Amino acid sequence: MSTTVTTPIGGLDGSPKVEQNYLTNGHTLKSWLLTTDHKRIAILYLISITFFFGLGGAFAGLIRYELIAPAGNVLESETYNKVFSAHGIIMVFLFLVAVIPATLGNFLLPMMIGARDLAFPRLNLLSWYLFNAGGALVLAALVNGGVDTGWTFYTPYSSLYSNTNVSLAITGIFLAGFASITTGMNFIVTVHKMRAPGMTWFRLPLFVWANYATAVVMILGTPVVAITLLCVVFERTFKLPIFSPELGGDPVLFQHLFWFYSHPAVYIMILPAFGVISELITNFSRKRVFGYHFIAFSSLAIAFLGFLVWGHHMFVSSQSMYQSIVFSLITYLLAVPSAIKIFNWTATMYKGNIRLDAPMIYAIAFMGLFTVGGVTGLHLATVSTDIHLTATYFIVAHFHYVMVGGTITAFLGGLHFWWPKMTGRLYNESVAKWNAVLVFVGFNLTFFPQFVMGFMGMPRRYHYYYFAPEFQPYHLMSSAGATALGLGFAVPIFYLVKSLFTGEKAGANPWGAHGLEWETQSPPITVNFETVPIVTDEVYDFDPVGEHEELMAKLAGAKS
Amino acid sequence: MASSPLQAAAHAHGDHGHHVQPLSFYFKTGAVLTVGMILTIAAYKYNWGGTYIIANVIALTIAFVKAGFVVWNFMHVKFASTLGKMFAFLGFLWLPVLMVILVDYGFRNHEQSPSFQLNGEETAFPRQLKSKDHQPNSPNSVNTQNRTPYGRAF
Amino acid sequence: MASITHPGHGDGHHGAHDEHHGPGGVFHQYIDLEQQNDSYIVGMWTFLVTEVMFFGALFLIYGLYRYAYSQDWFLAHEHLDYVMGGVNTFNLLVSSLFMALAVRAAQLKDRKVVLRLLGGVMVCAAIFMVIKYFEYTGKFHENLYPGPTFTKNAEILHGANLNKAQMFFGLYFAMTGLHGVHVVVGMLIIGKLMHMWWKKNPMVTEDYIPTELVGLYWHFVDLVWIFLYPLFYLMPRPDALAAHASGGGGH
Repeated sequence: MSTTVTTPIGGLDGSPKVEQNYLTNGHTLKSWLLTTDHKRIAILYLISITFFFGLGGAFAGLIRYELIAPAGNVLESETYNKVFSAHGIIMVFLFLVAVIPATLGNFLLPMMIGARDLAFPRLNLLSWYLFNAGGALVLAALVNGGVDTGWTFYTPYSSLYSNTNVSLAITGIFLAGFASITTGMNFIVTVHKMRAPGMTWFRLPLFVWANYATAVVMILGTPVVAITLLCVVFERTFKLPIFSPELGGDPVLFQHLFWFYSHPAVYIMILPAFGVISELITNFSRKRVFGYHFIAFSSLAIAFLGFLVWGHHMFVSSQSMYQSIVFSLITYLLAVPSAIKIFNWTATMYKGNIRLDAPMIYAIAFMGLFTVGGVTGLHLATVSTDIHLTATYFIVAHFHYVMVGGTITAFLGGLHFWWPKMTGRLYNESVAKWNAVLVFVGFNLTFFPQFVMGFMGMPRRYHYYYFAPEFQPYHLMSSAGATALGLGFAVPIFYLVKSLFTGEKAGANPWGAHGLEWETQSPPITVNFETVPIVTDEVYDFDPVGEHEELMAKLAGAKS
Repeated sequence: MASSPLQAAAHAHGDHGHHVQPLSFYFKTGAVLTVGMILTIAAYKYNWGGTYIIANVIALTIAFVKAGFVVWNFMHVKFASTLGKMFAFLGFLWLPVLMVILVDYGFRNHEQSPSFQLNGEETAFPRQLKSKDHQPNSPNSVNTQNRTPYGRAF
Repeated sequence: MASITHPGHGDGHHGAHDEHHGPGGVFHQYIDLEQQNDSYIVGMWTFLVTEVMFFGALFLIYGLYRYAYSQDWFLAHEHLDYVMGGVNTFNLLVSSLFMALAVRAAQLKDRKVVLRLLGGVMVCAAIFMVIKYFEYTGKFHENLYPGPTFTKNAEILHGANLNKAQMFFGLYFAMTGLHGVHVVVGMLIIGKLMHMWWKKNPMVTEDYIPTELVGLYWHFVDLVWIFLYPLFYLMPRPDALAAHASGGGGH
């Protein structure tokens, strides 16, 4: 950032700086497992999350393989229930909720605001351990015979009737929830108290705004689902009647409390993705972001409104129909701040010097896919159409467009963008570009047919459809697309890992990007900055005219 | 300002108005809380003559006042920065949003939707179109029938 | 601003051990003690926000069912001893006062008084748990806990619907139980704090904030009980039951 002064003002010692970064500062296993460095914890989280993503993806593969044939291929009904439950539980609680905040957020948030670390580094490490303990318990539940309730754990099925390892899985989710809470607490305090001098709220990168809004949702929502799920465990273990209809409890109350968290949880997943996309679009359009304040405040608006729409998951759950109408209207309202972001990004790209590098391809893919996912969400927010579409593949396609097309695309884009900063190495750009296209195509091939067959009536969570073999072409397309998508997710692991060893050394700022994180070396030193940076202007001070003239001069020089 | 953290610590008290409060400040607060507790019990013991809502309202009001005293005086929110105050009240301000869940149960009473009518006495929150002789809060629902609470074996 | 004149003292040499403390108990990520203390207070409050939401959901469940089953719950609540609950309420209140005074003594760096007052808090907490133990065992003795044996002595519930009475006791155990867990955790934390004061650890003796943070937690525990007590122990007689009250009970 041209406006950042990094003049050392009276450092403690005048000794020359040792060329050491956070990766080389300690090589023992202990130095990793007991680290309090936010960057190392981000890497640890990245490893855990990749593992759970692979596992959840494998379950998705089983589902898609099963559904190729109308009578089902391999799985028994019961096994199929356990497989899609495992897919949902792992992907939602152990991947999507944590993916961007815990990896990119952990790594970048302190650097972006010019801090040495998060406010509570040891709490951050605790978060990783809680996450893994939770993951281990969920894995134990799966290995021990699985869970067949779906990721939503609806009562009374989960509380009274299911004979699977529901309690164990819920305890795991409970722990993972506290990992999320501790991350949220850390982010909030860090953004409030740890900003470098001159880093005012409206100079913050939009990624920080998005993660701040996410953190607020995390601390306000997660405890509610924690106690709700705990009540299910109480009910199973100690027979405390809380949601049992036969004892006078109301199972719908569980759905209310569950969705009070789990709808905002959707925003825990997508808000950080918005933050990533804001950074990518701005940088690769080489242009100041359009409507900074609107994007920043729309994050907070989404976080706020996101808490007031949980009832749209319950239109057919015997919720009062008057309440359904209110929730439907508030859900429409929620589309406004989301659309504001899309419009602002589009306007940012307008007349920008767009560079189609791999992260930018992911970002553009995000905008398209998220828009489709968001607009189909409005179909589902309308009570009348929702009653037709509930529990069909339409809804499956909708939330995969938002979660996979949104969050995972943004995560991949962000990972590619900040990979040189995290590792100090450049990955193979042309492979990455083609891979981004493959992800986009594979994704659409997987999930677009699901919209169509869902609209025609294919129910979700069925492991066969011999009663309606006309759906087979769609399922075939979907399974073929899933194969391509799986490939698209696997290939980055190879070329990114390869870049660690053979990749070209990245300088401090290979993209010519703006922001405090690009001011320090790659990979950064343990304390991020040698001196406390002093910020004098906003982050997005791109100079498109200057850059264009520079480029023209370069081209003219090459010609002559 | 401060050149060493220790000096900063010395300043910190003055900067944030963390003046040491007189002992009476805490004892007075404690006295208010005790009086509140005694009043709550007194309201419980007093016969309100068939309007038990009053007793409920009094008990909860006193509880909220007591909670306010604890948060404001004992937890030093009174002397906290604006940011501290903001987060101190965030949870308490957000609870009403959670309580919006209850609105659903209020709405259900007004619903004219027999198609969603569940049957059986165990329905927690019956719709109004239920047969006229059944009123959810009538003494009839306190029955002495010794029904097995568990209809089926666990 | 202080932060400009006191730049980073890190030079990439922070190993596993020296990363915790800069001079004067300031952790390396902070500029100075003031920033650190502000962060701690705000951080503690964000934690308490999660606690408020955590218990809040239980209070919501409680409120909904109490509204729906007020009569059955009234009959069930007569088995809770409001005197025992009241003693515990006063007990926690005194402990809260001790804790507030302990924080004040910590501000004055009066180590002896702090230790005495924290000891007082511990004694109160222990008394609380002992009374809770007697209350719980009493309920277990009467089979007043949810489960298949709940119906054993149905007659002592004076005709309350057994299913709904079970819900009452279920929530009673869930909510007071979680509160009890918080008391025990609080005792552990206060024990650790007392140990630090005992050992004259400069982290607590030089700066009252750690004591204040433990105090915030403890006051929150008191706060939850302020609501639990009237809600479970002091239930007014519902109007529908007032007409044919059979004597005894809460009035």
